[in-house]
Amino acid sequence: MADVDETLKRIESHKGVIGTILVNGDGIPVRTTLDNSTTSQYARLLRSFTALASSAVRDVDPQNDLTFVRIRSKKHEIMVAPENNNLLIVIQNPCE
Amino acid sequence: MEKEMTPTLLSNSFNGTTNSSGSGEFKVSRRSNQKIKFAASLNHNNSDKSSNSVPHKKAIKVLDAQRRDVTPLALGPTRLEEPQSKKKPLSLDDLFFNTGANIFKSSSVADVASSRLFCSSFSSMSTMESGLLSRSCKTEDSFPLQDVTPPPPAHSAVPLERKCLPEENPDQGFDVTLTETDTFSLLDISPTIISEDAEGAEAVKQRNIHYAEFCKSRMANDNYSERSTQAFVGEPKTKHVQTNKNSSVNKSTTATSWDMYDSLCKPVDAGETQEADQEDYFVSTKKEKDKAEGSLSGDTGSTLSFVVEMETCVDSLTAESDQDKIVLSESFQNSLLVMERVVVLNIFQPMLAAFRGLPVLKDPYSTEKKPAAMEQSTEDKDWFLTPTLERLWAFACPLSIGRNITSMTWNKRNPDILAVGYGDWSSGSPKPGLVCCWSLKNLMWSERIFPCHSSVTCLDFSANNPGQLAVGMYDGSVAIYNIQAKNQVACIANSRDTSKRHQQPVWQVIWTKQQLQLSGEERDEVLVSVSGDGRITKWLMLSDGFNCIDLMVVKRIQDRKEKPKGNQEKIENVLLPVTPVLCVDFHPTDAGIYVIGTWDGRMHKCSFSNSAHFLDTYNKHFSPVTQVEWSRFYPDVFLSCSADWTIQLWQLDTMTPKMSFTSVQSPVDSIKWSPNCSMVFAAVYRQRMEVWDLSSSILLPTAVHHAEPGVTLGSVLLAKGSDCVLVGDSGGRVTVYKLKNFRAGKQKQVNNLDDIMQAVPGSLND
Repeated sequence: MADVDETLKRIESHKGVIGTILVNGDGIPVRTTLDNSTTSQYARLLRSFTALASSAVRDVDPQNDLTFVRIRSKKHEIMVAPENNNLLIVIQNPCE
Repeated sequence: MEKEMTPTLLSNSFNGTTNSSGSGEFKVSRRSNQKIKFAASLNHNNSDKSSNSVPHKKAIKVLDAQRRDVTPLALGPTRLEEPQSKKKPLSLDDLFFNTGANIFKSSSVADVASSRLFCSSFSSMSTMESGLLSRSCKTEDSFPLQDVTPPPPAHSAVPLERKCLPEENPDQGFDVTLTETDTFSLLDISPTIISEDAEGAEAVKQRNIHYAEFCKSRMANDNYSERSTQAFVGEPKTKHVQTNKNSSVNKSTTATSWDMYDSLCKPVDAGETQEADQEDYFVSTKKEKDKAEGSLSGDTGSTLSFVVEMETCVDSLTAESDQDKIVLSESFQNSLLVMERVVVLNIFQPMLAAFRGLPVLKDPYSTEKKPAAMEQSTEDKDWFLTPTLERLWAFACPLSIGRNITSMTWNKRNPDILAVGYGDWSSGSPKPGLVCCWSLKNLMWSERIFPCHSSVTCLDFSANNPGQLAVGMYDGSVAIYNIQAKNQVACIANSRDTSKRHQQPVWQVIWTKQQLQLSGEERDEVLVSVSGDGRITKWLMLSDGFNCIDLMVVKRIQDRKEKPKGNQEKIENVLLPVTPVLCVDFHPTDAGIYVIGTWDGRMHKCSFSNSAHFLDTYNKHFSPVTQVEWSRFYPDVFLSCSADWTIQLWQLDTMTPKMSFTSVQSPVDSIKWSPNCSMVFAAVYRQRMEVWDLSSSILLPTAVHHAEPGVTLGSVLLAKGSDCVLVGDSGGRVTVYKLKNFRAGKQKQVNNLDDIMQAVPGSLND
């Protein structure tokens, strides 16, 4: 437990990381370092996106599953790790 | 019902009309001049159920002048009395009549006439009214008039009790006869086919034949002509029917192939929990709709996936317990690991690209300023200039900073894993050491950290079991760690309790494969350690623990040349019967041969099987030999370095070194061949690190790196598949440098070292 906490803090303190969000199965953000409105927006949008990506992956091969999604945009990169319907979202600006 | 009035009667009084019940029709004939007194009738006027009960029906009485009862009998059928009528609600009329009757009944006989008259007029009017009323009401079927409660019968009654069964005793039984009616024939269609055995069959046949012939002759016959007729077609009539609209609900689902796969594979108990969670499912979708999301949840209709959601979230109410639940799950920790790696890789992407030899791409959307253009132009000019070392990054984490690095090694199977040993004994009392396993995927945090009870002096990964790391420590213990396990259970062997363990620091551990003649399987690996107590020992994992067998004990050799030094040496002989062995390396192809370097500067070639004698001795160094390493590209060639500031290149069976390298007056702590190129090796001195490229120069190092002030360099390592050098220093950092502009390409590998060696004039003599 302490390890996990420590790791999360480390991630949050890495260079260029804008924020991290942990979303539970209900779509409710459980832990976040951003403000509320941004958090809920990200949680909502990325949940449906991840579901779509997972559906696409599994449609081709049902034994496969989605492990990680990265969306690289002009300004930053959004990384989503889905497991068990929870989402771990990290937004990073790598070229800062 | 009729109302008959005769003129005579009119003059007298108002005629009572027959009432609706038809209890009686009064017909007063003309001839009777009698005064017919009417008695008020008590009867109910109408209603189908009502009955004229005899007892209370005696209101109407007709008496002639002689007081004879000439009350006419009822002509129509009377109704049966209902015994329960007492409780039925009364109508207004009945009440009216009742009172009238009561009034009437209470009077005495003497007043009957007058009262009767009075009553009759009164009642007849009321009768008429009621008759009117009743008439008007008669058409209604649902008229609620009930029977009147029968007052106690005052007069005898005409027996009008039963409808159709007069004069029968109710107690007497009666017979009921059941008869069957005749069969009704509802439909009778005679058949057009008769059996051949029937009676009229012959006649029918004849008729048939006759008819067939007749039909044939019909065509030409003039008697018959074809005519067409038209039948009336009934005009269709439109009928409309109205029904309730069938309400329809649209329901759709997307059956994806993974959905079907999940349904097949999910265990049965998921279905049981489905009903319990259905409400939650609906609740949650409602919640989501309330948030006005265009979410996918309602559309895909994949209930199973949402059931899984509900299952994980059904009992967690607060965000905290949710968080704990998520955080403690193993898959989350996996995701966390991957996420951290990804984040770090993002940060270090250009450096890692350089490490791997990939072209470093500039981010087109980067918001940085652009001195890159300038750099590039200068770089082109630098192309022909000196080879340099470019710093890429440093492996450092808060736990490791400040510790002195003593050894580094790559994993034999996964070249991205680096094990680094930390230890410090310079202050006299050795501190606890540390082993960190770094991965190239996470440059900022070591994913495996194993604390050791003593300073770590050397490390080596096993080739057969890539997860096993052998660690040699300053207090003489040898331990094996399984780096795949988590921290607590990682140490799978420790020689602390072994009786024959080393008493002096273990200077090198090495895994070596021994030749097994028996089986064609992979060769067994043996862990060999050398230590300051002069012993070269082989370690085995036996059933009763970790044990060792001495391969050899290196005793101090009496060197005749040193004898003239006299007593000094003798004393040394007595005090130090064994020589600390500082390094060992096994021949790459002939695993039975190995070379050791000792404290007194001698190097011995030994054999695995021969534990008593050395095969050969190489004498050149006069200070402790710190490192020996065979070349991977040239068999029989090995490199040695020592504290006497020199590096020597030897060939097996040649007792003098082929080449010698010296650059600064500083002890050489370590040397390593490059795994990529046969002519490159790196050497680390206290304050500097040098990379020698023999193809460009054999007198001077090709690249030199100076340590930062205050930091001494302890260990060096070259990366396989990459032109990089790793340097570990006393500050706990492993810095990675890229060798730039080294033109030691692969073209010049083969035979070149031999050429170089032969080019050197003769062998170097002492």
